[in-house]
Amino acid sequence: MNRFTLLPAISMLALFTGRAEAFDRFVEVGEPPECSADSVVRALEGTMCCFSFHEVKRPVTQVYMLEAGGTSALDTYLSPVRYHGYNLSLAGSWSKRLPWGGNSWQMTFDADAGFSRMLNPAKNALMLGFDASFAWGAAWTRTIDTGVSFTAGGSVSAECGVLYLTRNSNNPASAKAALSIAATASASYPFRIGRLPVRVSDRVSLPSLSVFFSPQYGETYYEIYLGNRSGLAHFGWWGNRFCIDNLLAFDLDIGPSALRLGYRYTLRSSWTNSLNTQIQSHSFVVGWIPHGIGLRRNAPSPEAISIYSL
Amino acid sequence: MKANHLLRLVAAVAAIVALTGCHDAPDYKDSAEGNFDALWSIIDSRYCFFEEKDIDWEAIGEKYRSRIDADTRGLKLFNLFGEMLDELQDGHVNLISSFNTSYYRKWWTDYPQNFNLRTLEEYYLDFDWMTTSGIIYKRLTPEIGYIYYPSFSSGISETALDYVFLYLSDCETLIFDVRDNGGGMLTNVERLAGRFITREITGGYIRHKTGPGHNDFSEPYRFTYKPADEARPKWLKPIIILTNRSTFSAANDFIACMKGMDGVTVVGARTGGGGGLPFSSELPNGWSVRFSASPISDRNGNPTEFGIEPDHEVDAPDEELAQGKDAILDYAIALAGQSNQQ
Repeated sequence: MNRFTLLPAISMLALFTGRAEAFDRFVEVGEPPECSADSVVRALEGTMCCFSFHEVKRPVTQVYMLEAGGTSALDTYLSPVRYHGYNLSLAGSWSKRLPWGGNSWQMTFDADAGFSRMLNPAKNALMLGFDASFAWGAAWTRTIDTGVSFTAGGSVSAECGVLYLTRNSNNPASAKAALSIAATASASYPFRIGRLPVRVSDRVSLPSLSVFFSPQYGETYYEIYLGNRSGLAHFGWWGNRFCIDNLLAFDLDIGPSALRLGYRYTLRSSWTNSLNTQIQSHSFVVGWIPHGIGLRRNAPSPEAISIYSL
Repeated sequence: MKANHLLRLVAAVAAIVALTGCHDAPDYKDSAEGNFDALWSIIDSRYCFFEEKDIDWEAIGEKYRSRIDADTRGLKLFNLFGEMLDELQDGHVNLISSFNTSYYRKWWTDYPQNFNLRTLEEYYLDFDWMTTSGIIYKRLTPEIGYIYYPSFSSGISETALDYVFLYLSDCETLIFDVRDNGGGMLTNVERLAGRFITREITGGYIRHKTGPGHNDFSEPYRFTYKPADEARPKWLKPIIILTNRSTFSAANDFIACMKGMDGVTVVGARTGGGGGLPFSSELPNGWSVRFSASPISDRNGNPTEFGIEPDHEVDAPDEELAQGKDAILDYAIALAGQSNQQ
């Protein structure tokens, strides 16, 4: 096994999990005896000896969220009527400062997986939705004297999913897949409610250019299965594919962790091959931030949660 | 300055809204008129055989829209819609509600049936046959194998086909009966055809709508069928396929694929057609509508929507069938006898 090929994976893993102790083990073990799960770790540990690591004060902020709310979907490949129902999803966000421009950049990795269940207006047909997305982004940050912080940057993302309309015959599902480049921005402001430290933030992601999948207007998946795969990938821009993800969050710095309460609005729409797709959701967000947001007076100092990084 | 920034922000948001807002979705009301408009528009934009059938959908829409009045609801509305859909003369067109399903039946009711299941079971199979995966099979004589496959909706497993063709492998001619087979899954056509070929063949051509215009079609796409794995038993000896008017949809596609192949003879009546792969949609009131959306043609590019002529046209009169005589099957057995003697 080429140990060097595994370096990016373990670097990302450590970066996003913030498990400094995992890195500590890098220096302890030598050559891996075989290719197994254990040996992979050992290989990585050995590999890391080849690089210079520094203790840095750029902690990883982790947020885990459960989201629930109302959703609606119109997909004219499946039906001309809009379906309404609820959605549930799990999301995670991991971010840390980057050593660029005097720590004025931060990178973020976001992942989420969701499920939705919707009915038509007559309430006699069921549509199910499944989706997952992953995004990596970097953003320039700036904090002004008032304590307000801003970020502006971009991200690359991959998303996939499906809408499944159980009553349809040869067009029962509408698959979704896209690779996107998005513009991102956020603003946050720390304040107190009584003695409770709170940070309010709003983060918006606006996929701007993409490559996405769509069948032709009346093309069945059977024809695609037969091998006709021409014209399925489309270049997307705001004129034919418009998506937005906006998260308004209140992070309450209670105890050793912080509680996130928020609202997320998402819209995924596209117009291609005379097919109209509009999927939007309004979700209540409950989240957990394991190490808090550092606003408490007795919050752990950055030194206490330092990590090792390249 | 701040006001300028605000104006720019508002302009940017307006531009975004303008870019995306132009793709408004149809908003049909759940009323008699709203549901009518939805149904008419769905068919207008997605149905695939207007030109082949010379149908003036605009005129049909005006004719039936004028019949809507304040009392047009429920069953009356359903029947009006069903009548309008019957104008398409297509067995793949249905309106489906919780109380009824509309169905254009004239594609088979106006023709002789040419088949009687009871006659087959009693006088030709002696109430004694083998069955697996929806296939009925038997050796009619030591030289003639017989398969009756009543529906392509029944999933066929490769293992089941192995057993069927191993059991019949000593026969010299196979009679494959798809009379009254109303179709089902096209993947079954592919699987079955794979047992009759030794190399990849053209199964036919398929097109799809590329837009809402009546003539917005893709170029025909040639699809192929591959032979079954070499280890699996195949039938490469003469086959006589029996058809009637109720051989429809996927069964019709099976005939389109098989007819003209070496050793294949089609006997019976012209098939019922159904050469458009159906799509589904729905109306605001929850009724579902199914319709032909992707035309399929045979390997020579001929449309299959209007049925396929047999090589030997034979009728099995109802009165004979009632007396235990299936003239189409008798003809096939005689043909098999001649073939075996050669």
